[in-house]
Amino acid sequence: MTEETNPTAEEAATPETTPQAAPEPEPTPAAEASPEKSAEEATPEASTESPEPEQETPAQEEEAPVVEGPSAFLDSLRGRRPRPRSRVGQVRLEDIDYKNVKTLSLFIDDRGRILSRRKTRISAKMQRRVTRAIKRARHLALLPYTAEHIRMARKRSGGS
Amino acid sequence: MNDHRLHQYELVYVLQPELDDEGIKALDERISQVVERHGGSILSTEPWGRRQLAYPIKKFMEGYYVLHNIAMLPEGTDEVERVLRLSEDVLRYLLIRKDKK
Repeated sequence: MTEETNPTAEEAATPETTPQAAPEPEPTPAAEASPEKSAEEATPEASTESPEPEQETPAQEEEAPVVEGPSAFLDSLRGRRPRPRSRVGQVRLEDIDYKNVKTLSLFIDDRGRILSRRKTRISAKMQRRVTRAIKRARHLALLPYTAEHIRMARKRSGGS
Repeated sequence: MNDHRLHQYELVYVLQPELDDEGIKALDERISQVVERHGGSILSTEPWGRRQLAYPIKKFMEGYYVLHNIAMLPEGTDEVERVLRLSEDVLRYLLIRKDKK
């Protein structure tokens, strides 16, 4: 915002030197106060003045759309927080196997707990398969049961 | 050639890491005998070797994993499991049916 208003000594100096100095300073401090006002006042003045407005007007026109700020964007989401894309969507049915530790680990959280469908967004059929596979893998010590297990494993590998 | 009464199984077991090759082979033999006694055969053997366990079993943090694909009559299931269960070297085992879901 403040970029367009009095950024350099030149722009500040020019309004003062030209006869348009009187009306000129108005949009500038106004722009600092609120971008909306500057947009309104800049445009009518653009027609009357020649040198500076060319510098200021496009700058201030940029300001106007930026008025909205972050809150407007969040409102448009309607309460849905954008989630990062997880790679769970690309998993195939035949990949679901208790031996497939790498794939299965996508479906457990950092404490080793099985993720719900709410988190994984997979079909009921897939979820059943996944759960069965995870439980088998746990039985064979390919996957942990609890957070404590993960802590123990991490300690053993020397904190990789 | 394929007897339709034979079922396809997958057998995984985890042995204690200290077991020597002799012991591993001996166990393998015992399993084979049971399988054959029930009209089946071991289709494949895949030793995964030593692997870190996700949690300690009987104080061990590592285990020796072996995977077999077996074709056998269902009657043999009980005996195979018994052999594995009674063995002191087998820490965990899993025998599942491969052909039906």
